[in-house]
Amino acid sequence: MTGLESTLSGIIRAAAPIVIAAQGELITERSGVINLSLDGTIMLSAMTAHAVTRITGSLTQGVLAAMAVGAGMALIVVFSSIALRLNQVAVGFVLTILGADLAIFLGKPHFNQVGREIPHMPIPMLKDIPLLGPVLFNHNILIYLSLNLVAAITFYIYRTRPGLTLRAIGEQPEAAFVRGTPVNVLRYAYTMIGGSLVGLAGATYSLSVKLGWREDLSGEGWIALAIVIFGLWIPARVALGAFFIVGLRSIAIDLQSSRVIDLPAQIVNMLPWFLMILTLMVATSGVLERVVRYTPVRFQPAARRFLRAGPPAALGRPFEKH
Amino acid sequence: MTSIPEERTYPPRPPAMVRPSRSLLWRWVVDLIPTLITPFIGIAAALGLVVLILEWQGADPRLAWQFLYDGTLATAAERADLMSYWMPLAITAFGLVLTYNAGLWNIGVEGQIIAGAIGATWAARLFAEGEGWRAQITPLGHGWVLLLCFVFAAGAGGLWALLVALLKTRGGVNEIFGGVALNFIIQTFNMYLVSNGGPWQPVGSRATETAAFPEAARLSSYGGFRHLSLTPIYITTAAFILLVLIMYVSRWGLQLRAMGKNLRSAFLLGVHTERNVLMAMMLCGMMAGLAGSFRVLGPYVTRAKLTANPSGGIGFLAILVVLLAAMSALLTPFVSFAFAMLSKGGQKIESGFQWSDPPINLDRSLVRVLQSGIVLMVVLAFGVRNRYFPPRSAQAAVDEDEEVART
Repeated sequence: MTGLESTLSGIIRAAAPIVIAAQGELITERSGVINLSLDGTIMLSAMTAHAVTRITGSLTQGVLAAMAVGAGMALIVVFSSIALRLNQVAVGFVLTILGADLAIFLGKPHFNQVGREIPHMPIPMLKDIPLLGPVLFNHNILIYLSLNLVAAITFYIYRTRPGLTLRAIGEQPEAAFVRGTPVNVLRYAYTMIGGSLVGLAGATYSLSVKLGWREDLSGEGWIALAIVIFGLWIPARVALGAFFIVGLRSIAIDLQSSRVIDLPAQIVNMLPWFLMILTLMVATSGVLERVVRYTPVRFQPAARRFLRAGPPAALGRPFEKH
Repeated sequence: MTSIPEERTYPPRPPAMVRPSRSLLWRWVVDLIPTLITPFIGIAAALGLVVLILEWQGADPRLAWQFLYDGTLATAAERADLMSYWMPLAITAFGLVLTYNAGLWNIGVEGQIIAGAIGATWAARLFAEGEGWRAQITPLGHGWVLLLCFVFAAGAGGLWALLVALLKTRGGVNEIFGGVALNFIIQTFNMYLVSNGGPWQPVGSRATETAAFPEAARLSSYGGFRHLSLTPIYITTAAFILLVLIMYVSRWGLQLRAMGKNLRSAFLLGVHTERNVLMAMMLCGMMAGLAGSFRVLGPYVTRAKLTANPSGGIGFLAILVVLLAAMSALLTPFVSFAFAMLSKGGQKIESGFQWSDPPINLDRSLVRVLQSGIVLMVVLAFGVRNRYFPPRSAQAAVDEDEEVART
């Protein structure tokens, strides 16, 4: 593999869990619920996947257990929001901390132990395509899944009727309810599906990307949460955002290790957070609108569609029947 | 959107149920009982969970309780140590009471503590060790150095919080994400300062910490206890009085509460919301910064230095404290004391079970699970209560709403 190929392939690989988690959170937020517990959920599910795989010896069971953990955490958030009418942010934040604490406590016996890895699975024929082959078709199944997930969710949200309903309960739950949609039932379902994807992201970390359990996953969930905002709740843009952040991170590490520029390692570690602030500022400011105005008139509607999109109108607002 | 006004008639309301006439005080007390019981149901649930974990690990819960007591309250030395852990936690929580009442999720408090620790260390280096940026500065006396340490710490914490607030009001970055990002940034900066030949790591040292501060930049210890000093206690008490004055006496506290209830209507009623956001965040950051300085200026040599993790997680712990205290200024000291006890007792529980017979490996993170578990359970318990067993005052409010809707 050439340098470029290995860099790009590394970005696809390292971004996979963030892509999966962000897509899960996107589904959740599109249905009108904020699940803030991502950071803790990823840690707990990563530990679960590693521990269950070590104990049972089965990768499938490890992945499924991680997804169950994610769905369980999401269930607490959505139950306390819909049934108990509690503040989603408060419950989500407490769960973030509880998840991390539980992961560290329960994971002690499995800390730094050798675990199993998801088997490498290059796709025959396709992997020999120059450039594209090594970058896209030379990974394991979870990484392929992360890429296909983006396409699948895009199709689901924009091209199917249940997807339309999903958008409706996040934008206008009252209208959807009048049309006969069981808003709260669907919110339970989508939040738990989103949560299980977050759990899958955790499994992707401990079974593939950052093999094993080393308690160093703090922060990844927050990046995923921020990327959903940066991606303006559009699946493809969210994925692009993940590749962008992870790409910059890996390029900076490459630059630093190759001594092209002499940066302290810490500056590199700060970079994603500066970027996160910067991108959030750009995404919420009027800069994008100005960009649209300077594009040729013919492309303006398309550009506006691509650049301007708000959060789901009912995000974080519990729905009550009257 | 125009709609044709409709004449609607309602049947006359049935007369309100006549309650047996007791005194107002009695009814108030009756209403209070479930409010007092609810948190204990939550705490019991979390404790039950931890007891299950202990039994599963084969550890005796009563023994764990004994270790917790031994490690915190049993001897005067342990009590002094507990005090020194409690003060930074309490003052951080006091600051957070302000922001949370104003509806601001100041998750950046962890970073503000670290900023304060860095600020205090900087002042100690400048004025006590005389290591100026360019020129050598004549070292000052003890009192002056400490004063400058506190000023620098409060300033650094306040400015770091102000940054979060400005990002929120001017940059459109939600304070949760701004806070998280700035937390990681300052943690990394702190690591840069003290590790791998960083500027504040002593030459030739491999430890990720600064050299111990000279005597002049250390709090003076009290009563012969290594870690106990009176200065943090005075400052924290002053902060508490300030907080109570703000929340219960001043107009500004009322404005903050109004913002927390509904930012937009507070703004429309003439509250300077942006200025208040900046001020509340900055005040909280200053208190967190002072907490950071308490943690690095510790009277005994072993604690008088900037380490890789100067906050020790007390920022997030303080958020849990404030959530558990339901943002009440008066409850915060008690809740923070209980949490300080748990945190400190955790070490003793771990070491106690290690030396027990047979030895049991019980990581001290168990107490952190207990802390966040308690908060989750209490929050859920209050949710269940308000939803399914609403207090009578809330019921009255609902009735009133219906009344308004009918007229």
